[in-house]
Amino acid sequence: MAAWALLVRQVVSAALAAVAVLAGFQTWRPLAVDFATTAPTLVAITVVVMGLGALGRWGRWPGWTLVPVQVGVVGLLVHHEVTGTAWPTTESVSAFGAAIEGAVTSARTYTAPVPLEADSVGPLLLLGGAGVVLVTDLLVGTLRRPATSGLVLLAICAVPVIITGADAAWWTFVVAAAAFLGLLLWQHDERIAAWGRPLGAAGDTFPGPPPRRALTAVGLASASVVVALVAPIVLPDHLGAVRLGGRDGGGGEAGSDVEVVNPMVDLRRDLVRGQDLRLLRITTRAEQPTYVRLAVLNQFVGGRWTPGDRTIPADQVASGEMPALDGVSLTLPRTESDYSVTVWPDFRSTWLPTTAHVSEIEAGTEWRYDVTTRDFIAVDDDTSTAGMDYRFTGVHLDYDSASMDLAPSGASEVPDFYTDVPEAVRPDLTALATDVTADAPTRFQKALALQDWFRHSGGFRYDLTPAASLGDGTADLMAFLDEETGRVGYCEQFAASMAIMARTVGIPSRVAVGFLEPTRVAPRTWEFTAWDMHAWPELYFPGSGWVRFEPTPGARAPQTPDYTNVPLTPPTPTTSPSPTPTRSAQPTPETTAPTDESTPEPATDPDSDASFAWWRAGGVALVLLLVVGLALLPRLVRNRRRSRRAGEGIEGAWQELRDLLTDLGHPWPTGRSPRRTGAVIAEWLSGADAEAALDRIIAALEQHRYARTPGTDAPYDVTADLALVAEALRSGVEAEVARRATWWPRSVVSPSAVSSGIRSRVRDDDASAPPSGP
Amino acid sequence: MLDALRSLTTRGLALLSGGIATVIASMATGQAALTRIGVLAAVTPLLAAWWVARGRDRVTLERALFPRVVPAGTPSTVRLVLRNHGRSTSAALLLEEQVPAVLGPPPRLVLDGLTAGASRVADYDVRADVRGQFVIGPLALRRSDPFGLVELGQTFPTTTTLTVTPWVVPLAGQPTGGAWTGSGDNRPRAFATGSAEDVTVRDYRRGDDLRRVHWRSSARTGELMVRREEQPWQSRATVFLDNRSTAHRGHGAASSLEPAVSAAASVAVHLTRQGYTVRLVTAAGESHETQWHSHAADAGVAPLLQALALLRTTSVRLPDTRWLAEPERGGLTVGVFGAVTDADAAFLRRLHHRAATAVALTVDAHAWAQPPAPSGSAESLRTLHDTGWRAVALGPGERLDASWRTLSADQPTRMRS
Repeated sequence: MAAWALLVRQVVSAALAAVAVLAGFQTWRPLAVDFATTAPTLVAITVVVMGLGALGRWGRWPGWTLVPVQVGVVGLLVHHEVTGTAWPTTESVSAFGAAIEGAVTSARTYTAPVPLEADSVGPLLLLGGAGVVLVTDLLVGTLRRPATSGLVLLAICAVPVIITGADAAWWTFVVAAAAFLGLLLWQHDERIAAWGRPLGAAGDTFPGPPPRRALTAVGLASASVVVALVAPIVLPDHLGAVRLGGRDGGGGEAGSDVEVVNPMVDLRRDLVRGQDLRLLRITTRAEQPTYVRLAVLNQFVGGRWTPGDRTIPADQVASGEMPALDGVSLTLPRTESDYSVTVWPDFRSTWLPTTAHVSEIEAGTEWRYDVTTRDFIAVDDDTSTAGMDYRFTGVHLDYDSASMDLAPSGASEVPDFYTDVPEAVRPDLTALATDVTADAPTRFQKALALQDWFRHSGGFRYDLTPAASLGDGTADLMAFLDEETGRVGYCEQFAASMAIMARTVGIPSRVAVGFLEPTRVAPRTWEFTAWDMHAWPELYFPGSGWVRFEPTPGARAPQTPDYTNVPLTPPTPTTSPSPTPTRSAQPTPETTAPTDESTPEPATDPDSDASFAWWRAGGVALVLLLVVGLALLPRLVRNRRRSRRAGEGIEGAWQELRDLLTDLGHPWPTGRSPRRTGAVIAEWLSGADAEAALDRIIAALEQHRYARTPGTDAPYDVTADLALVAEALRSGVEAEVARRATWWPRSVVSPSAVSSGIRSRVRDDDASAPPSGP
Repeated sequence: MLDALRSLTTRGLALLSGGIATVIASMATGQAALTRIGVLAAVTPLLAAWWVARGRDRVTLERALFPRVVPAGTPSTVRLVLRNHGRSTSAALLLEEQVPAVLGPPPRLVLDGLTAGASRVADYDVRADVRGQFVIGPLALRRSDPFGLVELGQTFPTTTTLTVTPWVVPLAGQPTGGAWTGSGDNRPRAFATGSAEDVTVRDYRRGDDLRRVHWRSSARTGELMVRREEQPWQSRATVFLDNRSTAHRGHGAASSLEPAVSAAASVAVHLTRQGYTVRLVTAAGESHETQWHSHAADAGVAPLLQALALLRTTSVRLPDTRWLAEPERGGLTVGVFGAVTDADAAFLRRLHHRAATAVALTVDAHAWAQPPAPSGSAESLRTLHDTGWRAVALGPGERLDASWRTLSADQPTRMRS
């Protein structure tokens, strides 16, 4: 091989490797804010290493000299970039060490992207990049193992994904994939060239030039890349569903069960335990199910919230439709969704986890519901949720803040105990609550004020290890609320305090215990663990029913319910103003709040799980459409061609016959006269009718082509004969072949469909051959 | 498709398994961003396998050999015609012909692929320096995808046989005497018996003397016929080749049989050129193919050379003598012997007795022995001379044409004596 050709080969190979690696480096962008300052050096390193490699291999340097030279040059380059001095001195080397150390510290301390104020992680990226480039060049060039360099590329791309979870732009993937496959092609090309003598001379091929291997490669590569881009949309991005299907129960050992009998008591124990046990899994098409309720504590006795003594009639079985929602106006917009719940065997609860509002449930006769609290209780102590499967229809209410703001007191609509405040704490709590809610004109705004006070303005802090219990619930409560000694606690205290303070300002309240927020384990599948357990207050507003509030600070519950984030006039200091001021409802008493007013939800959901699901659904639908379309396309093309030919007379019919044979897998005898072709076709025909029809077609064709004055005979309708022949041909092949001919006709992709008519006219020079065949 | 999957190369398997592992790992850890990398790695080999396997068994092979029989040292051309009867372009084809080692390294050809209906001709030359019959083929064909992920093997079982005849050394010198003899179909006829029916006539050709026109026959046939005044006579020679294993030493191409075969072939070709009809007789007797033929010289020697190409040693202890029982006698007999011992004296005497002229070449078989033994040509020559043969020895370094010239030059004196 000529020296220049060898150089070109080396340069192309090195360039492909460089492109692949650089595309991989592109995915490192999310690792550091100042990545842009590092990128040019990475490019320089890649170019230098690959260029040196290509030149060295062209000059036939042995690998053991080439690699050290590359390492040395790159080392100097990185050193210069980091320290600013060209040649290493004692100081510069120690400065280099310090920079690396700083980078390592930053990488350990900060999550990606590493901010500007930290020591730059650039040196670390440069070192890693240099190593990657050197290894790639060694594998691709010196060792001629381009397939192995795929592992290096995978490593490059995996680093940012594992560290940040960020997904790189799709085009970087396409570029890297193309370059990598190009490397494989290039190297295999060399291997083939070295393997044997190429039959390259055009002279000994008939017809036409040989197919281009590169074209095939491009086709295959694009197909692979497209599949790779589409597949993740279809594939589940988590094997959770598969892996958990066996119900191996994470902490299978004895004593690791989670038991909930007395919800409030068990709550803290489950929260602070070391193990994050999986408790239940919910599958639903609705949005992420949050605030799944276990039990409702409706009585405040002795400084503690308790579920009270429930006496539940035997007909309130948790099977079938539930009574209408308690206190909820029928005009309130609602959406119903199905939920199916699977409880792990480790989770033993005598309370059934459901959403707050349930319209229908199938949980078996061992569970009953309380008509006032709408929670579900086991009939006896032996019944528990462990290992249960059940389903229910949850109702999501679209609360209207304005109507809640206008709502009258609900005290008269609920049983007395919902407003009960023990005498021992009433004066203090009332004073405190009045103080907090002084600026709020309405009950709803008082509730919002309370929520904001707990979350922000009150100086509360979330901590799972609160001050030691004083042994008395009331004392504990007061200590928690006391500015000097307390205001540190967890959800239980926040929920309990807000609920009881709401009662002092005249809002019926209760405490709900359940689960806060699940983890997505598979599409539409959510899982709750022991650490997700939570408690929150529910306040009663006529027309809206029991409405959830979230007093626990953002450290635990980052989001407050949407309806508490709506600015009401006069603006209260309770909530941070929403960026989408969609409400214009004036809470002036004269205005009748239009409850049926369209309630435009903020369309942009920041945590776009839902929109992601839609994207995914759309993607799947698109792919399905594409597949169906592609599957139908050949047939459509074929039918279109057939109908077009119907108007082209005998030549069209002849073309149609040719395509028909192609479809059915018969070779079309080229370069023969119509009659000879007919003789071949006749072998596949069965039945004298069809053969006679074929003869008529051929006779008409011969007359059309060769007769001096065509068309002297009576006009001949070829369609019927063609149909006869087609039917006979179809019956002569296996059903499978016939079906394929219908759905995937080969003639659609056959290259010679168009030009054959002309060619056969030129070639059929033995038209005078004696008629043969039937 | 399954075949194609089975024929994934190491690279393809590595890519496939690595891809699947990556997909599983990324899904198990929830790192969805890595899934597509794994999918790409896993899908590419599968696609390549599908693409390679799709046109299978549609490529056919025809092999032709020009010429089928060549003298040793002369190249022969093998022509491969590959045709794609399928409806799709085939994958890149790597062809490897299986040929015996003596024909050189196996020819390897690369075809970028065949479009549907296309055919491709590939020529390559083979050359053997040793005589024998060589099987060319079968052809191993490997389909490869552009990335080297799949290599699907296929074998075309058809083979072609190449016959390589022994080295022939051009010999010089007048024929070493001989006899005009005939028998069978070529028995000489009494010519002038006077009967018209006995007159051999042939068609008139331009240039024939009008006086030779045989008018009676011409009248009868309606065409001009002329008398044939010359009668075809054959000059016959017998080449006897002693191929007993006891007479030769060494193995294979390095055995003393090879120079003996080469000498016999050279003598046969030389005598044929000189107008003799030559037959070959070996220690195993006369074979049907190498009996006297009455063809043109080159055609006549071809079966003989082919027989020589395939000749092996025989394990008989004494040469077959049945052919000597034929009534016909005389003619030229050339014997090519290996080591001759006293035990062969009776046979040699009988052979000599039968021939009008008998000359012998004795290959110094002992010189080919492993380990080399002292020359035994003196003993061979003595026995031959004792039984009346004119004989020369042929040692490893000696030239056949020189030895032959010696025998030719020897002739007049011996004839006179």
